[in-house]
Amino acid sequence: MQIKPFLFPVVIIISLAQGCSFSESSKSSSNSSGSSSKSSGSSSSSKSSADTEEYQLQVISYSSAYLTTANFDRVAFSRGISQIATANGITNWEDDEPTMIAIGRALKKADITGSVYETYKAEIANSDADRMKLIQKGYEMNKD
Amino acid sequence: MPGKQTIVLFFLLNTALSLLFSPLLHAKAFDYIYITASEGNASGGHTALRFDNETYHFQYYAGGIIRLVKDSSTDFDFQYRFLENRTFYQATLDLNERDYAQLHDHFNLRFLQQQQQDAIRKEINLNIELLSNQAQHLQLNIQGAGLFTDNIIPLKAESLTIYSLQEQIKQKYGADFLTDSIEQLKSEIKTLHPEPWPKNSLQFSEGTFSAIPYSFASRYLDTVSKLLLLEAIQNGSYLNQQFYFSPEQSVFSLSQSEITALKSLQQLLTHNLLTLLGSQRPGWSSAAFSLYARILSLALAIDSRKFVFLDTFRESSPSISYAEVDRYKTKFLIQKKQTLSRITQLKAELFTATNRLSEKAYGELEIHSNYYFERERGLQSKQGFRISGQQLLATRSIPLPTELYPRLTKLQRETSLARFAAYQINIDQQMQSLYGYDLITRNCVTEIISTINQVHTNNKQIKELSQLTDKDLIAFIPFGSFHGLSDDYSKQILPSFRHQQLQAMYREENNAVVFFREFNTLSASDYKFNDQDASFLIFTDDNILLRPIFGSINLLVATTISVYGGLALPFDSGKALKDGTMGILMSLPELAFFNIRKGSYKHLIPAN
Repeated sequence: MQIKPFLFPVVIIISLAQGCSFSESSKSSSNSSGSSSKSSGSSSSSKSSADTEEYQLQVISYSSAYLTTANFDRVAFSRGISQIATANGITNWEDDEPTMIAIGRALKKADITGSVYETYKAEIANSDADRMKLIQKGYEMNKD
Repeated sequence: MPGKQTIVLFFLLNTALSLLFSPLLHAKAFDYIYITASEGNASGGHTALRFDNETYHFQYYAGGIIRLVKDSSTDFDFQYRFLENRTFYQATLDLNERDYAQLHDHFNLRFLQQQQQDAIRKEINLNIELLSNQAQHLQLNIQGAGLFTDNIIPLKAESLTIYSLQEQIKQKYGADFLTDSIEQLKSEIKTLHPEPWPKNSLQFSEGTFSAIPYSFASRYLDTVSKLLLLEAIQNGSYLNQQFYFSPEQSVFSLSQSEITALKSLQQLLTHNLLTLLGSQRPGWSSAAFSLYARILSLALAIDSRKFVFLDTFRESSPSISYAEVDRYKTKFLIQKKQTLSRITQLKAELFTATNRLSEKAYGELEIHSNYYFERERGLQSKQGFRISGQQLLATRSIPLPTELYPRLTKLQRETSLARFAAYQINIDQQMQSLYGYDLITRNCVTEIISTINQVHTNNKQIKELSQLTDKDLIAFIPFGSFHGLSDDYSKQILPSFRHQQLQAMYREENNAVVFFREFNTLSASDYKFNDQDASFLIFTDDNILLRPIFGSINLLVATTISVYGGLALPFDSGKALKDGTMGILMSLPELAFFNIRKGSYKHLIPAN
């Protein structure tokens, strides 16, 4: 960062020639890194719980954004969750405990309460008692 | 002895003070990063904002728009600091936990909002493609269906597993479930037709999180996908041998206890598949295809007492030629060895008496095995291979079968196509207006600053940062923005890959030897002429005083290549001429002490 003041005009002209980074399909961040982020030497249990937390944060982010700013539609909401779940290697997210707990945490974060909360919970869980329990568990965890 | 009242008072005071100052006690640091310039990518440098393991930055996209991107900090570093060999200038600021969370949440929300908008645009294109019968387009594929075939002699283990699955379906849903569901889906397909979308789903604004309509095309493809899945199960389709593999190395052999664990996983997956068959949620069939394939691959593994993994590479995975494999052979051999060692470690961790093997954990093992086997096969058989793109679930697809194209009247098709074309124009105009790139007023710096500006906060430091481009004339340029940051930030330099290597070499070897070996591209240790770099002879990013002299030599080399390129134009489609011209452009700033070109790297080993 030690650039002489008299060089500023040159620097600016050159900088203006092209700005910022551009996206191209071949420049994916995973290019050549292969299993970079998955090759850490951490133990399986700690890595697994970190992965689960990371997955839950993705579900919470999406769900709370959706529940805060969009009109709730079960089909549209579910499609978004399915996409996140599949990318994380989870096929049957409706019966996946971390997913349902994360949705409960998102409902809390989005400040959904009372009868609206009960309606959303029942709709997301397809009125399945076990799934609703898990959503409630997440809702009561009181952390986002 | 203190009295009871004193203790209570002390406790209350302590609690009050803790509540008052707890946000300050739990300060969290976020980083403003300036990434130095690079050839052909960002001559003006780049900027990013880092929240721990997430890095947000604005990238230029085709169509002249600029969008917010979220990368894992590890991936971002690997791409920019290692592969692109660019130095980071990092300014760190401590915020209290509440302000940190507010800023982070805001960036994340903006990212998700933009992601939804992109998905809506994609959904419109999907409908246009389906209505135009452009079934060869990648988007119109049936994901997962390509993993199966009916044209092979089945293995006994597969046949038995399929039979068992069919019996369990009968038990859970009734003897005629598959036949009835297939008939029902065939009728359903005929009734589907495009409908206008709700107006609000097409109104974009920077702060809107729009729900993606479950459009005609998605419904149609989902229904076809379900139909093909049920037919595959009913017909007892087998795994396509092209899409699974079983490596020879001893680590992939299975002990009795490991086989028991795999059987247990297979039962869990079968339960999941049975549940999905009755699910009401949209689009479950591609997940079910992946499940069905994994259940069969586990059957083969249990039978052969050796792991059998599905090919989980994305179909669009980037691959390299054998010439490149051969050039970087040493690196690939190390990558292969390291991955094999990681697989050994992972296997030992996953298959323990107390650990129940999960779908995701198995997916991790499968990802590593794909990465390993791709290199093993390429190096052994001397052929190119896919360099990255493994996923946690296998998704090999087939094009939408022609006999299952939507049967719409000409009027329906034309009306709908016109409607979707109008949606597309509308969306493109909105995107251009909201996110149109401008060199000075809307670039990677100004967008970070304006996104910060949208946060409603009283935090003085965040407010200061949000006014950066107003106060400093050159703050719209990445390095200018970093230069304009206040002294409240603790600043540090994170050296590029080459600079890290050089530092280590200077520590361990004779300085003169290192200088003369590493200053040029011909003898530098790790650098190999990367086809993404224009030809050059001398690195100038670490030699400020000698830069104009070295730049002159680079200019001479590039000019020579350009002259040669002019002569070779009829034979190499202008490649050498383009290379030389870019080389001249990158050398000229060096004459004025300014460096853009760093020299990029390929196939580095992440552990570096």
